[in-house]
Amino acid sequence: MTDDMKIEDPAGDRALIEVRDVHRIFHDGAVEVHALRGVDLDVEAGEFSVLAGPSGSGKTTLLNVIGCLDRPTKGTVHIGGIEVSDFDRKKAAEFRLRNIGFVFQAYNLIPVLSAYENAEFVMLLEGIDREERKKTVEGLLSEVGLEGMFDRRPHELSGGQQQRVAVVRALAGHPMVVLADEPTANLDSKASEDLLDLMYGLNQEHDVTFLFSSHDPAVIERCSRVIRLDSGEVVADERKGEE
Amino acid sequence: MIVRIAWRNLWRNKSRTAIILSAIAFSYGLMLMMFGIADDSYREMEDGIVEAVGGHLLIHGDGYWDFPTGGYVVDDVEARHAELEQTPGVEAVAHRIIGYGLLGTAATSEGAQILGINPDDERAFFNIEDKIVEGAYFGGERDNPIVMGVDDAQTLGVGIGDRVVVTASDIDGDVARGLFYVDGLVRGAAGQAAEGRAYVEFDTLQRMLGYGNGATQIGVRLVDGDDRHQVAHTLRADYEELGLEVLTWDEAVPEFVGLIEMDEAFTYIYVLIIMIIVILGITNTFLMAVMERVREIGLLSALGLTPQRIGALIMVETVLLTLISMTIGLGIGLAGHFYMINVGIDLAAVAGMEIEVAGLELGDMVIHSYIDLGRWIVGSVAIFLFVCASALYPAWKATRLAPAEAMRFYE
Repeated sequence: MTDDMKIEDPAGDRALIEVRDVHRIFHDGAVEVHALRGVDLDVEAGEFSVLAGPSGSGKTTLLNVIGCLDRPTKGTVHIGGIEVSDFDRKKAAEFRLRNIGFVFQAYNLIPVLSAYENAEFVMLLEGIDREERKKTVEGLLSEVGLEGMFDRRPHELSGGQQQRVAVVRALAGHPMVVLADEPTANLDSKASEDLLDLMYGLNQEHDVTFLFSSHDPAVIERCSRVIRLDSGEVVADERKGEE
Repeated sequence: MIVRIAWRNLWRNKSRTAIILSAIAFSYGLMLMMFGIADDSYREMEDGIVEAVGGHLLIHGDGYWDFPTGGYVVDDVEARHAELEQTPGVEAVAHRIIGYGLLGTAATSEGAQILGINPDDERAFFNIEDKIVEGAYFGGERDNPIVMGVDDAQTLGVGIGDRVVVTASDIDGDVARGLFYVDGLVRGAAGQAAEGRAYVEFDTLQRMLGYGNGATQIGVRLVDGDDRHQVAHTLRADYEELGLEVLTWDEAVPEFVGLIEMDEAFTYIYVLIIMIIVILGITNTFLMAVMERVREIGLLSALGLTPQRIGALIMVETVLLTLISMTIGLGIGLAGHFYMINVGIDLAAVAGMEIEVAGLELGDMVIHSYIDLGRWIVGSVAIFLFVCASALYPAWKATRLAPAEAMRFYE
């Protein structure tokens, strides 16, 4: 990792993401809620994987812990060989900025910024110069079919178009991994299919690792690896094409 | 980008922004107007007091001001007068004899302060022509002229050209009398032309009361009244050896300085109360704005905005809002200032009575507005900092939002 927290050599001889014995306990008054119970997981660079499971199974919590949005109560998470589970909030934010792209279920875009401005937001925070931002963002927005919509604010875009902008934003900073939490939950089946096609294409073309959290059968169908959770535990780990 | 987001965030809820903006703008504008009115009233009052006491600096025999009797004399007054005229910073000098006694006619008498003055010297100290109701200000038509208040003249039943006998204690404490002819009548008003005072020519009163080549007082008017303490300090070095006291006007009338300081304190307390109310309102509104945007703040955090930069975003919004509000407030304050310059407030009309401060009449004072740039700048900086401080708590709250929890908001 460089001084500015960008992972330069993600693979080495380790998995890109290593989750070891991760517990996450929430406190609701006197009640303890065990959202994760000793999760172990490796995700290799370039995977197109999904954390699947019913509501309350812990998939979003696990995604948040991997994405440095939350800290585990116990256990460790390494990304690119760096232990991220003990980062303070400032360090976690800087790590997210340099290495992780996010696509969320809804309210994904900053409402006061245009599609173009949303897409370049992460690059701007990274301090990437104007010309490179313009080249990257215009290229990606066009690639996802949003030509002519650069100046539109989020409320002027459909749900599917908003998610495409979010995908562009997630990819624009050239992250090691894109974490997508229920990205198709608010989309109709056609828009979902298009979005998945887009992300799969980007995975194949740009070799970006995608890790989803979803219970949408369409997502599960498209992913090459399905990690099933139930009650905070990994209950199955299926790699398609493997016997 | 932070500034761009902050600017656009400001206009997301236009009515709320307009309410905060108006609150800051009107409070700030009102504060500037209050400062303008207060500073002008202080200036007017100072001018009135300087006019009333007879100059920025007063020189007497040492001890006179505490015990004003004929025993304290400024000897060789013409020489002192000439020296003072050569002193740097001095604009005008006038020497006077101040006596206490009676103005009398065959029928009645009235107690009064009798001032022996050189009319031409006094023109630099107060504008008595404006106050002449009848007759002239030492017009030169009569021997032993006397100028007195209209009310005193009515009490005595005298008019222009009538005789008045002045009875006063001379320098040795004996009774001295002189016959004078009424030359002019003045109305009671700010300055030395108030009721209970009568003016006669210096040389006449000097001879009548046996002052020789001396006088009771030398009044000094300075080019810049703010230099009074410095000039007084310089003069004291020489004059204390001559047995003379040198007083600045505020040393002569300390009650008046206390009054101004008290009024200033009330002004500041009033402004502070207004600002506290406004700031509580702003804090509440900004807090609402933060709580409404929990999810969005979570998103910004998830995308890599550090807690410090999230706090900075809220503060930049506040700074932008404050700058806009203060610009409008400055317009309001300047509009009020120029209105007050042109129209003003007639204190006597507002109060419906004569106004007296520290025994000096200030009833004809018309308050306008005066910009004391230093006070406006200090006030403006204080408002800016106060308003910005009001967003510190909401900004801090925003930095404390855990991104994972914030992202669950509204789900």
